[in-house]
Amino acid sequence: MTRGAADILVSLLATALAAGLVWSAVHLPAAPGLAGLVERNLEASGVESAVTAVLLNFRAYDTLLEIGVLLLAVIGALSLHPGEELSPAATEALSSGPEPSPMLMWFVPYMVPVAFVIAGYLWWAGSTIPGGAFQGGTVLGAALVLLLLSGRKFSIRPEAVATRLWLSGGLLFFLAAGAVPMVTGDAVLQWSEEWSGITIVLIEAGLTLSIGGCLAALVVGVPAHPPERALRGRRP
Amino acid sequence: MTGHSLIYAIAGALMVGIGLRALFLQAHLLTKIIAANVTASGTFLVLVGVAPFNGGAHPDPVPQAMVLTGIVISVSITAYALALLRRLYDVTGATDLPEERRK
Repeated sequence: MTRGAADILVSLLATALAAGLVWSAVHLPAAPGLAGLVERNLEASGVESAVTAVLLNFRAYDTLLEIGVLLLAVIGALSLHPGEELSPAATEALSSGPEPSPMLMWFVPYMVPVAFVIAGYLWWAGSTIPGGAFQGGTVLGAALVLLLLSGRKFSIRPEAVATRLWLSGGLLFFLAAGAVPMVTGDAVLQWSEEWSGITIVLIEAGLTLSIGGCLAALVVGVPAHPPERALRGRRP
Repeated sequence: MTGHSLIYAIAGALMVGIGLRALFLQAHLLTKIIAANVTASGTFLVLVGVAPFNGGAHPDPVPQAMVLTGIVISVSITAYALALLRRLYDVTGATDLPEERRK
Protein backbone atom coordinates (compact mmCIF):
# COMPACT_ATOMS: atom_id res chain seq x y z
CA MET A 1 0.00 0.00 0.00
CA THR A 2 1.34 3.43 -0.88
CA ARG A 3 1.96 6.08 1.72
CA GLY A 4 -0.88 8.25 0.45
CA ALA A 5 -3.41 5.40 0.55
CA ALA A 6 -2.33 4.51 4.11
CA ASP A 7 -2.77 8.17 5.15
CA ILE A 8 -6.29 8.23 3.76
CA LEU A 9 -7.22 4.87 5.28
CA VAL A 10 -5.96 5.79 8.78
CA SER A 11 -7.67 9.20 8.57
CA LEU A 12 -10.95 7.55 7.60
CA LEU A 13 -10.70 4.98 10.42
CA ALA A 14 -9.89 7.69 12.99
CA THR A 15 -12.82 9.80 11.76
CA ALA A 16 -15.14 6.78 11.91
CA LEU A 17 -14.03 6.02 15.48
CA ALA A 18 -14.54 9.63 16.59
CA ALA A 19 -17.96 9.71 14.90
CA GLY A 20 -18.92 6.42 16.56
CA LEU A 21 -17.86 7.75 19.98
CA VAL A 22 -19.90 10.95 19.47
CA TRP A 23 -22.89 8.88 18.36
CA SER A 24 -22.71 6.59 21.40
CA ALA A 25 -22.19 9.53 23.79
CA VAL A 26 -25.33 11.20 22.42
CA HIS A 27 -27.43 8.01 22.39
CA LEU A 28 -26.20 6.52 25.66
CA PRO A 29 -29.28 5.40 27.63
CA ALA A 30 -29.75 6.98 31.06
CA ALA A 31 -28.29 4.72 33.75
CA PRO A 32 -28.28 5.03 37.54
CA GLY A 33 -24.50 4.59 37.67
CA LEU A 34 -22.63 3.73 40.84
CA ALA A 35 -23.08 7.04 42.69
CA GLY A 36 -25.97 5.64 44.77
CA LEU A 37 -23.97 2.59 45.81
CA VAL A 38 -21.03 4.80 46.85
CA GLU A 39 -23.40 7.17 48.70
CA ARG A 40 -24.99 4.32 50.69
CA ASN A 41 -21.61 2.89 51.76
CA LEU A 42 -19.84 6.21 52.32
CA GLU A 43 -20.32 6.00 56.09
CA ALA A 44 -18.44 2.69 56.23
CA SER A 45 -15.53 3.98 54.11
CA GLY A 46 -13.98 6.13 56.84
CA VAL A 47 -13.88 9.32 54.73
CA GLU A 48 -16.53 11.85 53.69
CA SER A 49 -15.32 12.55 50.14
CA ALA A 50 -16.89 10.11 47.67
CA VAL A 51 -13.95 10.21 45.23
CA THR A 52 -11.42 9.54 48.02
CA ALA A 53 -13.61 6.70 49.30
CA VAL A 54 -13.55 5.10 45.84
CA LEU A 55 -9.79 5.67 45.41
CA LEU A 56 -8.56 4.49 48.81
CA ASN A 57 -11.27 2.06 49.90
CA PHE A 58 -13.71 0.64 47.35
CA ARG A 59 -11.18 0.48 44.52
CA ALA A 60 -7.93 0.66 46.51
CA TYR A 61 -6.31 -1.94 44.22
CA ASP A 62 -6.42 0.57 41.34
CA THR A 63 -4.61 3.17 43.40
CA LEU A 64 -2.07 0.68 44.75
CA LEU A 65 -1.14 -0.48 41.23
CA GLU A 66 -1.18 3.10 39.95
CA ILE A 67 1.49 4.24 42.41
CA GLY A 68 3.38 1.07 41.40
CA VAL A 69 3.28 2.17 37.74
CA LEU A 70 4.49 5.66 38.70
CA LEU A 71 7.41 4.17 40.65
CA LEU A 72 8.25 1.83 37.74
CA ALA A 73 8.35 4.82 35.37
CA VAL A 74 10.75 6.60 37.76
CA ILE A 75 13.00 3.53 38.02
CA GLY A 76 12.92 3.13 34.25
CA ALA A 77 13.74 6.79 33.56
CA LEU A 78 16.50 6.94 36.18
CA SER A 79 18.09 3.72 34.93
CA LEU A 80 18.54 5.43 31.55
CA HIS A 81 20.46 8.22 33.24
CA PRO A 82 24.27 8.03 33.03
CA GLY A 83 24.36 7.88 36.82
CA GLU A 84 25.37 11.40 37.70
CA GLU A 85 23.66 13.24 40.49
CA LEU A 86 20.38 14.81 39.38
CA SER A 87 21.52 18.26 40.39
CA PRO A 88 20.75 21.62 38.75
CA ALA A 89 23.23 20.61 36.03
CA ALA A 90 20.78 17.94 34.92
CA THR A 91 18.02 20.52 34.60
CA GLU A 92 20.17 23.00 32.66
CA ALA A 93 18.21 22.38 29.49
CA LEU A 94 15.00 23.23 31.34
CA SER A 95 16.01 26.68 32.52
CA SER A 96 16.38 29.59 30.16
CA GLY A 97 20.19 29.63 30.20
CA PRO A 98 23.27 28.88 32.25
CA GLU A 99 22.11 31.37 34.91
CA PRO A 100 18.59 30.93 36.33
CA SER A 101 16.46 33.92 35.47
CA PRO A 102 16.26 36.69 38.14
CA MET A 103 12.48 36.36 38.07
CA LEU A 104 12.77 32.70 39.07
CA MET A 105 15.29 33.46 41.83
CA TRP A 106 12.98 36.13 43.26
CA PHE A 107 9.88 33.99 42.87
CA VAL A 108 11.07 30.67 44.33
CA PRO A 109 11.66 31.68 48.00
CA TYR A 110 8.09 33.05 48.18
CA MET A 111 6.38 30.38 46.14
CA VAL A 112 7.90 27.14 47.40
CA PRO A 113 6.84 27.43 51.08
CA VAL A 114 3.33 28.43 49.95
CA ALA A 115 3.25 25.40 47.63
CA PHE A 116 4.30 23.11 50.49
CA VAL A 117 1.43 24.44 52.63
CA ILE A 118 -1.03 24.01 49.73
CA ALA A 119 0.18 20.41 49.19
CA GLY A 120 -0.35 19.67 52.89
CA TYR A 121 -3.78 21.27 52.80
CA LEU A 122 -4.83 19.27 49.71
CA TRP A 123 -3.75 16.04 51.41
CA TRP A 124 -5.71 16.88 54.58
CA ALA A 125 -8.77 18.19 52.74
CA GLY A 126 -8.96 15.03 50.61
CA SER A 127 -10.89 13.08 53.25
CA THR A 128 -13.83 15.51 53.28
CA ILE A 129 -13.83 17.56 50.05
CA PRO A 130 -12.18 17.19 46.61
CA GLY A 131 -8.42 16.92 47.08
CA GLY A 132 -6.12 14.13 48.17
CA ALA A 133 -2.75 12.53 47.61
CA PHE A 134 -2.53 13.03 43.85
CA GLN A 135 -3.51 16.68 43.87
CA GLY A 136 -1.22 17.37 46.86
CA GLY A 137 1.62 15.34 45.35
CA THR A 138 1.38 17.27 42.09
CA VAL A 139 1.69 20.63 43.88
CA LEU A 140 4.60 19.26 45.94
CA GLY A 141 6.29 17.96 42.78
CA ALA A 142 5.90 21.34 41.07
CA ALA A 143 7.48 23.08 44.10
CA LEU A 144 10.42 20.65 44.01
CA VAL A 145 10.91 21.27 40.28
CA LEU A 146 10.95 25.05 40.94
CA LEU A 147 13.61 24.45 43.61
CA LEU A 148 15.68 22.36 41.19
CA LEU A 149 15.34 24.98 38.44
CA SER A 150 16.46 27.80 40.71
CA GLY A 151 19.80 26.05 41.24
CA ARG A 152 19.58 26.20 45.02
CA LYS A 153 21.20 23.62 47.25
CA PHE A 154 18.71 20.93 46.43
CA SER A 155 19.15 17.87 44.26
CA ILE A 156 17.67 14.42 43.84
CA ARG A 157 20.30 11.70 44.21
CA PRO A 158 18.83 8.43 42.90
CA GLU A 159 21.79 6.47 44.32
CA ALA A 160 21.11 7.59 47.91
CA VAL A 161 19.20 5.17 50.14
CA ALA A 162 17.17 8.06 51.59
CA THR A 163 15.97 9.07 48.09
CA ARG A 164 14.99 5.50 47.28
CA LEU A 165 13.04 5.23 50.54
CA TRP A 166 11.37 8.59 49.84
CA LEU A 167 10.26 7.66 46.31
CA SER A 168 9.13 4.12 47.17
CA GLY A 169 7.87 4.85 50.72
CA GLY A 170 4.30 5.62 49.63
CA LEU A 171 3.95 2.27 47.85
CA LEU A 172 5.71 0.31 50.64
CA PHE A 173 3.50 1.83 53.36
CA PHE A 174 0.39 1.23 51.23
CA LEU A 175 1.42 -2.45 50.81
CA ALA A 176 2.17 -2.84 54.53
CA ALA A 177 -1.14 -1.21 55.53
CA GLY A 178 -2.94 -3.36 52.95
CA ALA A 179 -1.52 -6.52 54.53
CA VAL A 180 -2.62 -5.60 58.09
CA PRO A 181 -6.30 -6.68 57.64
CA MET A 182 -5.04 -10.19 56.79
CA VAL A 183 -3.99 -10.60 60.46
CA THR A 184 -7.64 -10.70 61.52
CA GLY A 185 -8.64 -12.89 58.60
CA ASP A 186 -9.97 -10.12 56.34
CA ALA A 187 -8.97 -9.64 52.71
CA VAL A 188 -6.00 -7.54 51.56
CA LEU A 189 -6.86 -3.80 51.60
CA GLN A 190 -10.13 -4.50 53.45
CA TRP A 191 -9.87 -1.82 56.12
CA SER A 192 -11.83 -2.39 59.32
CA GLU A 193 -14.55 0.25 59.71
CA GLU A 194 -13.06 1.43 62.98
CA TRP A 195 -9.58 2.15 61.59
CA SER A 196 -10.33 2.98 57.95
CA GLY A 197 -10.36 6.79 58.42
CA ILE A 198 -6.91 7.07 60.00
CA THR A 199 -5.49 4.36 57.68
CA ILE A 200 -6.61 6.26 54.59
CA VAL A 201 -5.26 9.60 55.88
CA LEU A 202 -1.86 8.03 56.69
CA ILE A 203 -1.63 6.21 53.34
CA GLU A 204 -2.49 9.48 51.58
CA ALA A 205 0.27 11.26 53.53
CA GLY A 206 2.83 8.70 52.32
CA LEU A 207 1.44 8.86 48.78
CA THR A 208 1.58 12.69 48.73
CA LEU A 209 5.29 12.72 49.67
CA SER A 210 6.22 9.89 47.27
CA ILE A 211 4.17 11.21 44.34
CA GLY A 212 5.76 14.67 44.73
CA GLY A 213 9.24 13.12 44.74
CA CYS A 214 8.47 10.78 41.84
CA LEU A 215 7.11 13.59 39.66
CA ALA A 216 10.16 15.78 40.36
CA ALA A 217 12.46 12.80 39.68
CA LEU A 218 10.65 12.20 36.37
CA VAL A 219 11.10 15.85 35.33
CA VAL A 220 14.86 15.77 35.95
CA GLY A 221 15.21 12.05 35.21
CA VAL A 222 15.30 12.50 31.45
CA PRO A 223 19.01 12.63 30.49
CA ALA A 224 19.75 16.15 29.26
CA HIS A 225 23.38 15.79 28.17
CA PRO A 226 24.63 16.66 24.71
CA PRO A 227 25.14 13.45 22.67
CA GLU A 228 28.96 13.46 22.53
CA ARG A 229 29.29 14.01 26.28
CA ALA A 230 26.74 11.33 27.06
CA LEU A 231 28.56 8.79 24.86
CA ARG A 232 32.00 9.62 26.22
CA GLY A 233 30.75 9.39 29.80
CA ARG A 234 29.54 5.84 29.39
CA ARG A 235 32.62 4.36 27.73
CA PRO A 236 35.56 3.69 30.06
CA MET B 1 -28.14 11.96 29.82
CA THR B 2 -27.75 15.56 30.88
CA GLY B 3 -27.06 18.04 28.12
CA HIS B 4 -24.47 20.26 29.75
CA SER B 5 -21.80 17.54 30.07
CA LEU B 6 -22.40 16.18 26.55
CA ILE B 7 -20.13 18.85 25.06
CA TYR B 8 -17.18 17.36 26.99
CA ALA B 9 -17.88 13.85 25.72
CA ILE B 10 -18.13 15.10 22.13
CA ALA B 11 -14.89 17.11 22.44
CA GLY B 12 -13.23 14.04 23.97
CA ALA B 13 -14.40 11.81 21.09
CA LEU B 14 -12.93 14.25 18.55
CA MET B 15 -9.64 14.35 20.51
CA VAL B 16 -9.46 10.53 20.40
CA GLY B 17 -9.83 10.65 16.60
CA ILE B 18 -7.26 13.45 16.14
CA GLY B 19 -4.80 11.81 18.56
CA LEU B 20 -5.03 8.34 16.99
CA ARG B 21 -4.53 9.73 13.48
CA ALA B 22 -1.35 11.54 14.55
CA LEU B 23 -0.17 8.52 16.55
CA PHE B 24 -0.25 6.33 13.44
CA LEU B 25 0.77 8.80 10.73
CA GLN B 26 3.38 11.12 12.29
CA ALA B 27 6.90 9.70 12.21
CA HIS B 28 8.51 12.01 14.81
CA LEU B 29 8.46 10.19 18.15
CA LEU B 30 7.83 13.36 20.17
CA THR B 31 4.71 13.95 18.06
CA LYS B 32 3.67 10.36 18.78
CA ILE B 33 4.07 10.91 22.54
CA ILE B 34 1.97 14.09 22.37
CA ALA B 35 -0.59 12.25 20.19
CA ALA B 36 -0.86 9.45 22.76
CA ASN B 37 -1.48 12.13 25.41
CA VAL B 38 -4.20 13.80 23.32
CA THR B 39 -5.85 10.39 22.83
CA ALA B 40 -5.67 9.63 26.56
CA SER B 41 -7.07 13.05 27.50
CA GLY B 42 -9.90 12.51 25.02
CA THR B 43 -10.71 9.18 26.68
CA PHE B 44 -10.80 10.89 30.09
CA LEU B 45 -13.14 13.60 28.76
CA VAL B 46 -15.48 10.96 27.31
CA LEU B 47 -15.47 8.98 30.59
CA VAL B 48 -16.29 12.02 32.74
CA GLY B 49 -18.58 13.52 30.10
CA VAL B 50 -20.92 10.51 29.96
CA ALA B 51 -20.86 9.93 33.75
CA PRO B 52 -24.41 10.16 35.12
CA PHE B 53 -25.27 13.07 37.43
CA ASN B 54 -28.41 11.61 39.06
CA GLY B 55 -29.74 15.07 39.72
CA GLY B 56 -26.83 15.97 42.01
CA ALA B 57 -24.23 18.66 41.48
CA HIS B 58 -21.34 16.22 40.98
CA PRO B 59 -20.94 13.38 38.48
CA ASP B 60 -20.62 9.73 39.54
CA PRO B 61 -17.49 9.42 41.75
CA VAL B 62 -16.38 6.07 40.25
CA PRO B 63 -15.59 7.39 36.73
CA GLN B 64 -13.94 10.41 38.41
CA ALA B 65 -11.64 8.11 40.42
CA MET B 66 -10.89 6.00 37.32
CA VAL B 67 -9.94 9.12 35.34
CA LEU B 68 -7.75 10.35 38.21
CA THR B 69 -5.94 6.99 38.14
CA GLY B 70 -5.69 7.19 34.36
CA ILE B 71 -4.12 10.65 34.48
CA VAL B 72 -1.30 9.40 36.73
CA ILE B 73 -0.69 6.39 34.47
CA SER B 74 -0.67 8.73 31.45
CA VAL B 75 1.89 11.02 33.14
CA SER B 76 4.09 8.02 34.05
CA ILE B 77 4.06 6.59 30.54
CA THR B 78 4.72 10.01 28.99
CA ALA B 79 7.75 10.63 31.22
CA TYR B 80 9.21 7.17 30.58
CA ALA B 81 8.63 7.51 26.82
CA LEU B 82 10.39 10.90 26.88
CA ALA B 83 13.35 9.37 28.72
CA LEU B 84 13.55 6.59 26.11
CA LEU B 85 13.32 9.11 23.25
CA ARG B 86 16.06 11.25 24.81
CA ARG B 87 18.27 8.17 25.10
CA LEU B 88 17.55 7.15 21.50
CA TYR B 89 18.54 10.64 20.36
CA ASP B 90 21.71 10.61 22.46
CA VAL B 91 22.85 7.27 21.06
CA THR B 92 21.69 7.42 17.42
CA GLY B 93 20.85 11.09 16.76
CA ALA B 94 17.47 9.99 15.38
CA THR B 95 14.02 11.15 16.49
CA ASP B 96 12.04 8.54 14.56
CA LEU B 97 12.08 4.81 13.91
CA PRO B 98 13.88 3.49 10.78
CA GLU B 99 10.84 1.58 9.47
CA GLU B 100 8.73 4.75 9.55
CA ARG B 101 11.20 7.04 7.82
CA ARG B 102 9.74 8.65 4.69
CA LYS B 103 11.95 8.41 1.63
